Amino acid sequence: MDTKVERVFHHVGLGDLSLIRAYVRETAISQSATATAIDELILAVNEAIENIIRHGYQDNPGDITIYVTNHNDSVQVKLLDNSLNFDPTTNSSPDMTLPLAERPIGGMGVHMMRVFCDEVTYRRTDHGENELTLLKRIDLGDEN
Amino acid sequence: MLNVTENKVEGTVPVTVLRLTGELDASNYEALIVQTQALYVDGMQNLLLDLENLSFVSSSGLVALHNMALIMRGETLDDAQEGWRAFHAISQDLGKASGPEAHFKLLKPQPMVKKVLDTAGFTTIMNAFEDEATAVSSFS
Repeated sequence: MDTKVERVFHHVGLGDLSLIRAYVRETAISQSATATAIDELILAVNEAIENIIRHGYQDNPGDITIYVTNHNDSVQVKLLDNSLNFDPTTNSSPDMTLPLAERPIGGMGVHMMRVFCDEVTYRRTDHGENELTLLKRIDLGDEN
Repeated sequence: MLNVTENKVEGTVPVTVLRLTGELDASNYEALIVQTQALYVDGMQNLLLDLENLSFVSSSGLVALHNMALIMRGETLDDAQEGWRAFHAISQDLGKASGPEAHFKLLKPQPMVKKVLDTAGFTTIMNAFEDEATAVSSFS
């Protein structure tokens, strides 16, 4: 059975990152999830939150709503904020095959989201909110 | 939260060991850079970063490591957030130099931290050791 929890974090700043990671760790409970899978999901969520705070709210306090849905075979984390229109999925990941000197500046956070999540999707809601959804598929025994 | 302790050990040359405990993210990475810069100005020439008790590192933490590597080369960045320029500088130097950073090395990264370092390509430019004595003696 799917379970879904929701929490609004008010006036979020960088100092709240640890609290948010702990919240996701507590709620992203899937019976078949490995510790590695949860760690990877939390990293991706952290990167998304850092982007929202820095680029969306531009380091001003703002609210972020976090929905965590546990499915049998995946965990979904949805982030809602009402900051500037900011779609992180349009950022291209650095080409990791290029020598470091040739890589474009920035994009490491989005790259981490893409590497460690199976799906990263964005939309602007009808209420003018940024909605970023991260999906991590959980496979029993998928320790890598 | 991040706790940083410092001690000096003697190998072939003096080595400063910074031991990180906790999590390194956007809330605290700049302080680590500042601390490293201050130690460098104070005479630190070799830095071993002990990651054994670091349970989390974000992309901001990677920026810190980049800056620390540059500092240990005697280079600094005006803006601590220009992490990718640090990548370029390191890589360009690597074209002329011989391998990974000589004065900045890593110790015992936890599996998830190592995975992040590997994903960013850091472990090709920063040596990571599993044994402190071996790490310390690798500085020359």
